[in-house]
Parts: sequence; structure tokens; C-alpha cells
Amino acid sequence: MESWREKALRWIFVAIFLAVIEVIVRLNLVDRIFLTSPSLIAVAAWDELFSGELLSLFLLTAYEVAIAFIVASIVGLCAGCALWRYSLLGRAYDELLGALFASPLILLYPIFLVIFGRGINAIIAMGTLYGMIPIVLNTHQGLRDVDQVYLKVGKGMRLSERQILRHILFPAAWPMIIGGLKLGLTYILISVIALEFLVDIGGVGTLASKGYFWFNTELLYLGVVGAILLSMLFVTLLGKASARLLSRE
Amino acid sequence: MNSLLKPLMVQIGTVLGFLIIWEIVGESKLLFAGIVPSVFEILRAAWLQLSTGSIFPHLLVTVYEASVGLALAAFSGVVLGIVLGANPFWRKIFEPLILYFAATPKIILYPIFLIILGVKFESKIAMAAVSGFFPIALNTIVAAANVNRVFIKVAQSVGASNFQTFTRVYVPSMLLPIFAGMRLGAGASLVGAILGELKVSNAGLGFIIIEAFNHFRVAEMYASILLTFFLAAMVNVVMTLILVRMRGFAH
Amino acid sequence: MGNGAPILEIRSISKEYLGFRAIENVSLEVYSHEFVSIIGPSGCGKSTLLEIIAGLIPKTSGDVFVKGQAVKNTHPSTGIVFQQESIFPWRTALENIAFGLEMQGVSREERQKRSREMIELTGLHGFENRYPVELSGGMKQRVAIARALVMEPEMLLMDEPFGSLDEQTRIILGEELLRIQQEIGQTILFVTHNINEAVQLSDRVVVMTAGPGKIKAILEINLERPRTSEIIASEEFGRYVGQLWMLLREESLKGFKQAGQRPPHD
Repeated sequence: MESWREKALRWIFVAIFLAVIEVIVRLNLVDRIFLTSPSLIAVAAWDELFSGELLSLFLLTAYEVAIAFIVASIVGLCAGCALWRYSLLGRAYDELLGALFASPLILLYPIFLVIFGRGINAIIAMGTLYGMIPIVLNTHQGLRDVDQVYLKVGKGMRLSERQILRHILFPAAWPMIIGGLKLGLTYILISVIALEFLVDIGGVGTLASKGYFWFNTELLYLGVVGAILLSMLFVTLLGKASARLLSRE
Repeated sequence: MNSLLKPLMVQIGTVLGFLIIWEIVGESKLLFAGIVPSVFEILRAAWLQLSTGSIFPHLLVTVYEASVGLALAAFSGVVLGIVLGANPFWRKIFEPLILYFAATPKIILYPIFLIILGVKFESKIAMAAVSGFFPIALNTIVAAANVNRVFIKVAQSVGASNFQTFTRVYVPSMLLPIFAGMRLGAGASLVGAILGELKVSNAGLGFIIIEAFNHFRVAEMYASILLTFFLAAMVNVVMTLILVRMRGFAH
Repeated sequence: MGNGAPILEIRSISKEYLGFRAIENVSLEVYSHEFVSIIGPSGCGKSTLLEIIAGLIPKTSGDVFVKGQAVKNTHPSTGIVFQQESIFPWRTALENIAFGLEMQGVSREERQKRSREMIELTGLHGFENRYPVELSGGMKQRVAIARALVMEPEMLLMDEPFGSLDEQTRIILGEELLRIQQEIGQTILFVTHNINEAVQLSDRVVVMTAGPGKIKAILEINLERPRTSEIIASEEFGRYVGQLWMLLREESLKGFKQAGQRPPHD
């Protein structure tokens, strides 16, 4: 756990960094087309927020992430269980999925565009793929790593297979499963924003793209900063949520 | 023997099964014509790109961008990583910031690079550098922080100077995890460069992929993507082999 | 001692793994209210024997009878406590104890009542709502014992339950176990490698040979109960320990040789 002092120092550093940028821009040390000041970005943010634009972009991104996550979770959890149940599948697919995960999946997006058309579905599909893999791998690993002693306890108490699954296996594997869901959600967000940027269909990722093509530096940086803030917010919330879900640790 | 062979069979079977389903879907009128070209067409297009050499100039561009980017990422990542890893105080302050940024899609920074560095190689190199930086920095931080304290005490007790301690104790024990970070960084740099080439570019593997996409030369697009994956796999294999040999030396 | 028909009777139990004989022809009777320990060198199969009785692993040949009835698999009349941490980290102490009852479909009220009684019996008052991560090793084992006892087993099987605890905790828990046993009249079969522990706790001690494990000897411990610290410090206690050590030493040396180790210098 970190002290408030460390937290404060960190944010002071960030504040200094932002102040320096503000000064550089205000003093016209750099061409306005290259860099814009935090205060101007904030103003642009306020305008966007006011016009409801920002909100609708954000909602679209949230929608894409949500759908991708739901599908990825359901498929991922089931697949993870299947891999555990049928150990041959487990051994075969662990490697395969691991290799897939390490490969540049994002580069497959033109394929998704071709198959799903140039719309939201392609983004959701890509996000689902990205999210599914860590969920499957972690669920499988979590079930595999359950201490054999717990299973012996269940067997000694003559529990049915369903009871062992529900009351022993899943609770024991839960931390790793949650970890997988967390990772999956993070990757979904990353890939969704990236794709929104690349494909320009809508959502938070397009802000930066629009800013660039319309020569609107404020908008561009707003898009960049917005995406960064969204990711940061996400990581923080996920951290807190998983800490709550695993309150016994 | 059987237990090693069976998973392999399943893997091969899965890939083959996938390809067969692909063929069937492609042949049927399920999707618009041309969306799912035959596997053979794709392979033919790939062969064409290789044999005519049309892919090589672009391959070179991408490799160039990724390499320079990786070099920049490696230098800055290792330096920053050692500084933060060896200083628990600074580490606690800055590592979370690095982690936050690591979770952001780097492609979002691309327009900034475009504005500042222009539309040619430099902006892609910057993408590669930024992408490769994070795994290297994060791994180096851990590597530097986890240098066995006992070894340091041993070195100091025999009167080694700071420099000697650094080169004889720190560096050898950090080499392996840093290189593991490099392996991740290499993959990330490659992908970063290609992502940059997907928008506002005129050369590189990313460029030919998006060109094929824009002109609906679908088989060609699939082929280029396939070859790109192959390149990424090669890079990973090479780095892994080096890593394995390094592990061998470590023992 | 022998109060009529034995609670547990095992006849000619053998266990073989792929040509390797772990246990050979073990027969034993345990009577109601008895505390019987099994000691033996490493690898003599004492844990295997216990798990066979508990029904967790199948036997190659022989029979197990609990209260006269032949038993093949796990049986509600046997409860088992393991050496490793076996209580569930995601449940509180109370929830852990209530686990078996919950699985049997016992009502919430009843579960709570019986579990709380067990909490009191095993000296866990005040720790009901703690999670295992907040409990010491000794307390965790108390929970494991309580979890088994709340099911009211005819026969409690314990596989080196105090093996991973420090010496002081081990002695205290041993005393606690005896107190509990006296209070509810539990029949216990206890595996340990600690001779002092065996003499401190048991009515009879079974000595097993090195693998393949057979019964080498059964020693009756005629010390008074409760086994106070005076009794533990007494000459008689020491004599029993000495006897068992002589019996065990021979087997331990054999065990070392089997494991390819050089035995410690005589």
C-alpha cells in the first residue's frame, strides 16, 4: 500500500509537467500547430462536453467494450472450463492460444472489416477476440492450480461432482479467473480505442483522428488525453473492483 | 511418447479443420464474393509477393523503422529502468505512471508524431519506439530492483568499487530479465511501426496491407497480413532462441 | 480399550502402484473411544493407509469395515484431517466448519448451532468470522479439526495434522486434541512421525516397517489420562519413547537405504 506522500509527489510531478507545457505554449516557444496547452485542451473538453458530443462518443465506446466483454467472458469462461475438463484439449490449446496471444492480432483488423463490414460490429468482433484469449487462459490456469487438498476434502465428504465444481473449484480458482477477466477487459479497451482511431467509425478513438485531419490541435490533444485518461480511469477502477471481489486476500 | 504426440495432433487437426471450414465458407455463397478467398488463392498471392520481390522494399522499410525504434526504446527503457529499479523511492512514484501509460493504445499518439515529425519514416520510428519502450522499461525496473542483495554485500565485503559492483554484479544478474523485456519490446516495436504505416503512409508492410484493402484486392491483403505474421513469428523465434542460449550461459 | 466390537477393522490391506508395493497385508482393529497412533519411517505408506481407510484412494486388496459394515469408498462415518492447509481461504472459520453440513443440506439454523458448538469445543471463540489468511497455522488446523468433527464421524482420521507447526503449537494442540477427545469420546486414528507426540496422545501405537509397509509392532501405552506435563516428564514416558525409537530406528535405517541415502552416522 502506498503512502499519501508518494501519491501526492506523483501528482505534483504530473502537475509540474503540465505547467511546463502550459508555459512553453503560452510563451509561443513552439508552433501552435505542434503543441497546445492543457488549459486550452480543457476548454475544448468543456465545449465538447457541453455539446453532448463527448458523451455520445464515450457511450459508443462503452457500448462496444461492454458487448465485447460480455461475449468474451461467456465464451472464455466456458472454453476455459472445457480446457480444464478435457486435459488433452487443455494441453493442445494452451500452447496455441499462448502463441496467438503473443502475435500482432491487431493487424487482423482489415480482415474483420472485410467480413463484418466497416462498422461497429468489426470493432466489437476484434475486441471480443482480444478479450477472449486471456480469459480462457486464466480460467484454465486457475482451475488447474487449485490445491489438490481442497479436492480431497470434497471427496472425503462425498460431495457430488457438481458440488465440488460449484463450492470448491470455482471459489478456489476465482482469483485467477477475476485476473483473467480484468486482463481481458483491459485488452478489449485498448483494442477498441485503437480500432476506433484506425477505422474512424466513432467513439473516443476518433477524436484524435478528427483533430489531426481537421488541423484542430486542441481536438487532437483532447482525443489523446481523453484516451489516456479513459485508460487510466479504467485501470484504477478495475484495480478497485477486483480488490473488492477478492476481499478475503 | 503418446502424451507428447496427442496435443500436437489436436493442434494440427485444429489448424487443418479451420482451413477446411475457411475453404467451405469461401466456396459457399454465405458471404459476399471475395470476402473469404480460397486458401490457395491467398497462398498464391503470398507467393507472388515473395517471388516478384514486391514485398521486399516494404519489408525493409518496416524492419528499418522497427529496428531504429527498438534501439531508441531499448536505450531509454533500460536507462530509465535501472534508475527507477535501483531507487525504490522514485520507483514508487513513477512506476504507476508508466503502468497507466502502458495500458493506453500507443496508436493514439500517432497524430502527434505525424504533426511533429512528418509523414515519413520518423513518425513510424516514433511509434515503434513508444510501443517498445514500455515492456523494456517495466522489465528492467523489476530486473534492477531484484538484484540479489546478498551478491551486492559479497562484492562490497571484498572491497569492490561501485563501478566494479555495477559491472560485475548488477549487469550480469540483470541481463536475462532485461533481454526478456527486449523480446517483448521487439514484437511491440514491430507492431507499432506497422500500425503507423496503416494510416498516412506510403511504404512499409502496413501500407501494402491497407492499400490492398482500399483497392479491394482481398486475397493480396490476406497474403500480406499472413506474411507480416510470419515476420513477427520469426522475430519472436529468434529472440527466444537467443534467450534460451542466454539462460544456458546463466547456468 | 476394547469396548466390544471395533469401530474400525481393516483386514489384509495391500496397495500396489505399478509393480511397486506400498503397503502389504496390514490388519488392524480400532475400538470405540480409542486413540491409536501409527508411526513409521518416511515412505512406509502410513498416509496411504489412512487415505485408503478414508476411501480417497482405492486399495489393491483387503477389506475395510466401519462398525461391521464393509466400506468401499468414502463413508460418512470417517472424517479426515490433512497435514497441509486444507481449509478454504474464501470462507470464514465458521463457514469452513459449516461446509460439510451445508453440503448435506442441513438447515441454516442447525448448521450455525452445531458449528458454533464446534467453535467453542476447539477453542476458536472470537475467531468465527476471521478468514484463514488472518489465522495462525495452529488455528487453521483447529478449524480443519472442527470441520471434520462437526459431521460427527464414528472414526476421525488424522494425517500428521500438526506436522507443519512449530513445537510449542504442536504440544498445545496435542493437549487440546486430547481434551476434545475426552469430552466427546471420539475414536481417533492418528498418523505421525513424531514419537513423543505418539506416546503423549495415544492408547496404542502401531509401528510400521519401511516399504512395503507392514505392521511391525503394536505397543500399548499404559499411562494415565489426562496426560499431564508430569506424566510427559516421567521416566515411564521416556521408556515408551525409547522402546518405540528402538523399533523405529531399525526401520528408518532401512528406509534411508531404500531411498538411496546414506543413513546418519550410527
